[in-house]
Amino acid sequence: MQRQPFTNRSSSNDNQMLPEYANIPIDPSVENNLVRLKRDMGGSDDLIMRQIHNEGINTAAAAVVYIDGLSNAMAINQYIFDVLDYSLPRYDGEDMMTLDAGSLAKKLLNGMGPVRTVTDLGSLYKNLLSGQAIIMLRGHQYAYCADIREWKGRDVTESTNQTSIRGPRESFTETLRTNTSLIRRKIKDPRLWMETVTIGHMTKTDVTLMYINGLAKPDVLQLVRDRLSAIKIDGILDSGYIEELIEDNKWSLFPTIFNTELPDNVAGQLLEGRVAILVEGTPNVLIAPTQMVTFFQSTEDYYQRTFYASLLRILRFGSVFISLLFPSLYIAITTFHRDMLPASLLISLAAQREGVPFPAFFEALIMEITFEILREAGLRMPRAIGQAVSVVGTLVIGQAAVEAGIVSAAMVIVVSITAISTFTLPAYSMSIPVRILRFAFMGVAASFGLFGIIMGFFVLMLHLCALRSFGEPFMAPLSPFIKTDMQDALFRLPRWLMFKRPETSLKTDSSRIRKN
Amino acid sequence: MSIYSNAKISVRQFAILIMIGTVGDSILIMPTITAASSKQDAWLSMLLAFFAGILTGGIFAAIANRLQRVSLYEAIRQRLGLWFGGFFFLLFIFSSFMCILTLLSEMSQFMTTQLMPETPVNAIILFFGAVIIIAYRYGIEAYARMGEILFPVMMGLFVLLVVLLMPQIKWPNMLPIMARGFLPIINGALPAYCTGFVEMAVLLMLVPYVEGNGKLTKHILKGFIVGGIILFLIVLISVLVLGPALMETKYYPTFVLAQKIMIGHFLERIEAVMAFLWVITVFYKTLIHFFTLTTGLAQVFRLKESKMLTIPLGMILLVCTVVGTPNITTYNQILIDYYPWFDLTFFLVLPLIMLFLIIAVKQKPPKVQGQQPQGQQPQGQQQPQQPQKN
Amino acid sequence: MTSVLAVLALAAGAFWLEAPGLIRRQQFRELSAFLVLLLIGTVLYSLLMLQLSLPNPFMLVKWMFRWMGTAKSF
Repeated sequence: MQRQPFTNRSSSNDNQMLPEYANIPIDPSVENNLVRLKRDMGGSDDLIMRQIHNEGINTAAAAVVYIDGLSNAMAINQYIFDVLDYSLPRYDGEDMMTLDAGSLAKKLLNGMGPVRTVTDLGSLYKNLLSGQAIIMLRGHQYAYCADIREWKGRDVTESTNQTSIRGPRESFTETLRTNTSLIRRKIKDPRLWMETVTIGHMTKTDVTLMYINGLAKPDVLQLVRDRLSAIKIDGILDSGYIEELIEDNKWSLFPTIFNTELPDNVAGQLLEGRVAILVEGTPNVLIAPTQMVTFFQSTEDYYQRTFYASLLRILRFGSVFISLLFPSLYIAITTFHRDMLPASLLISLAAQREGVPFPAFFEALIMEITFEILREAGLRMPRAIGQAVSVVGTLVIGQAAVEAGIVSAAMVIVVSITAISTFTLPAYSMSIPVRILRFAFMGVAASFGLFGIIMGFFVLMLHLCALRSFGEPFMAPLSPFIKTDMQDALFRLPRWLMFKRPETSLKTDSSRIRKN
Repeated sequence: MSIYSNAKISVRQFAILIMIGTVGDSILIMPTITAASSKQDAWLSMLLAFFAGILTGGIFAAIANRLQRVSLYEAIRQRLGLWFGGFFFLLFIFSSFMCILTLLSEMSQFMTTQLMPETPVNAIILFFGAVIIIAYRYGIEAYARMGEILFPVMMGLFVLLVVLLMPQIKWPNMLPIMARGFLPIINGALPAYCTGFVEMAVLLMLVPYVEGNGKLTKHILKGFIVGGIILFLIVLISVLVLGPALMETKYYPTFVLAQKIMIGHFLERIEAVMAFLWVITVFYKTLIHFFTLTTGLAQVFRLKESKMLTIPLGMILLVCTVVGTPNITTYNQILIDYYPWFDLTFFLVLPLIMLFLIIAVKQKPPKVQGQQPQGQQPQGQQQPQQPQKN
Repeated sequence: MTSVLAVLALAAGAFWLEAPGLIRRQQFRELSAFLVLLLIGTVLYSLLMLQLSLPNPFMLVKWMFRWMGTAKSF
């Protein structure tokens, strides 16, 4: 994936069109326009241009232009072409010149569905290349575009990355309109508003903001809008681009914008007053602002029973600790604090480490790096070989390494438990910093033992506490401690006890459960 | 973090910072020091120190309320002028400097003797100092929030410690009560009072960053009371479980306490878990004093930024710590015999003078725009009840 | 000798970390304060590394309150 050139940010809103096409008016002569289109697109053969001639007149009365593959060709034939073909002769000659453009559009084109006027070449191209059909009429300074888009996209299927046992399984697709409709179906309130902007000079990607008016905080909303409009980049191919460009803390390992593929997740967060950012062409939807605890929540927590959900959530927090600290604790204890172990365990550990040539730190480092290699490889492997390699990886490498005396058996156990506990996190973007920091903790543990781990933990907590997500503190509701928000942080209170909406929403409508 | 940054901490975070700072290093060394004078009545010493501490908290609260979120240096400068005010304030900062030295040396001694004997002392102090500097550079909001998150963890560990030691309490260790009279109890209370409560005069430096404009009395007292209760319980448990003889001879009785915890022969030697508790408290106390030192210096010299002073100050502190602690005995001797007076002079007398200044002296016209005017408010002062027998 | 070099490296690191920002923002007063303190710190630390005996700061405390004798004699 080549690196996209990125110019300085500015607050102008002028990211919609390439400079050379903006503000060029549309030629009243249909033929000239067609020639220009063909030249600008280099004669690409998916550009279909059909002209309509009236009897006795050489110049074309109208033309319909569309991109094959992006538009519904049959609908174009039926609704646009046939109508024009039938109606235009009655208006030709002098009439067409004098007829006011607006009323002509109303007369002819209304049967074709929503029609917009296009005032210059730049927006003509944008609409054409989005799949709309462009209708040009002789003598008119404007063109018209009809929304007749259709293309082959992925079906709404189950998500492969975020599985759920109970709860809706639909996941977003690459089509923006499908995604917005999935959310609309969940929240049937007129206060669910959306705004669309176009970002990216060349990709002209549609980016939609969705929020519930009255619940979302206006400052946050304005901040999102401002940051989006400040993006000046060639192309947006995934929401990850946008995430990187609008987040608060560019250098932090930790994500401060949440992303998900599940519509029910998005709907739940919208109900809490957050803002969703949907990007055309990707199923990953961004949600801002976010809190640390959001990354530990899974949608299933809300559908299962309370006790089970709370236990699971506590388990997740514990797993993150294990995933982060277990190798470092092993190194610290076996290197510095051997007297902390019970005697029998100490003896067996010592016996295992007897033949190992490396100090505990290197042992751990080797095993962890090996595991990271295996994991990355497993992601990209063709499905057929995947099974075999995982067997090779776990059994053969692990076992063989132990028997060769390179690592001790306890180390393999440590690494496996660590790796598996990383997967309990529902949000993948949070497990990445955990994986990276694990190595840092290992280094600190090897130098300063438990003291080092404690100090390293302090630095980590300091960093997390200093993070802000669009102005909201990242570590809320743990700190600043918001009592009512704790209903959903470390555990989940039963549904009938959760009266108030979280602090991320406006105060005007803060109670979820209404008495009437 | 520049002096005029608009970082704000909540009152709850303020109280928690005070609480953790009060516990500070006292939790490590106070049982020994109080027992040195009062033997089995160490808990009475601590109780006495506790009450004196509450009263002192009242004094600090009086100053804090009257400051109205103006920085301490500004308040002093407005009343004493640039030179006298600066000198006065520098005295305050100097004692903070010395306090950091004591904290760093105690922490390094503890680590070196108990947890990590093979690591050179310099490295430990360097590492600890680095984290302090990092914490300072992240800003007060960050470490106040971290304190808020760590607070329940701390309390949980403390409760765990107390509960797990209950089976080992031997009530006869407490007897005889007051066998040697009242004098040794006072002798033991003095260092406890100074180290735990008087040294927290630096909370006045945090006042400008607390949100809102209301009175801070309740929160300061809350911090002192909770911190004091923790210290009292620690000393009490030390007496009851270890007995006075052991308390006197061992340098870190609380550590020994943690070592004594036995749950069914498998949860033994969890003292490193308890070390987490002590690291938190010592860290925060050091941090607050370091904050006083750095921000205070920046204010005295009218600098706009204080972040860049952190690393040089860290170096100086490290050198002075290493030089100041050639061995534990000389350090302890100075700490017990001379340091309480130092604390009293600089962290009690100076604040009392400040209180007098703030109440009685009308402020000079402000040189910086936007200072809030303070009129004279005749209010009664609170006298500390300290037995002054000399 | 190597330890003195390490100290100098630390001082250089601190300088490299802080000075450009200060110069860029034209905060020369702050820069001078920083340099003074850095100089003191580096000198002290180097002396420490060279294992020269430096005065104990606590002796100052002892001197200030020498008239107290020992606090035990209350």
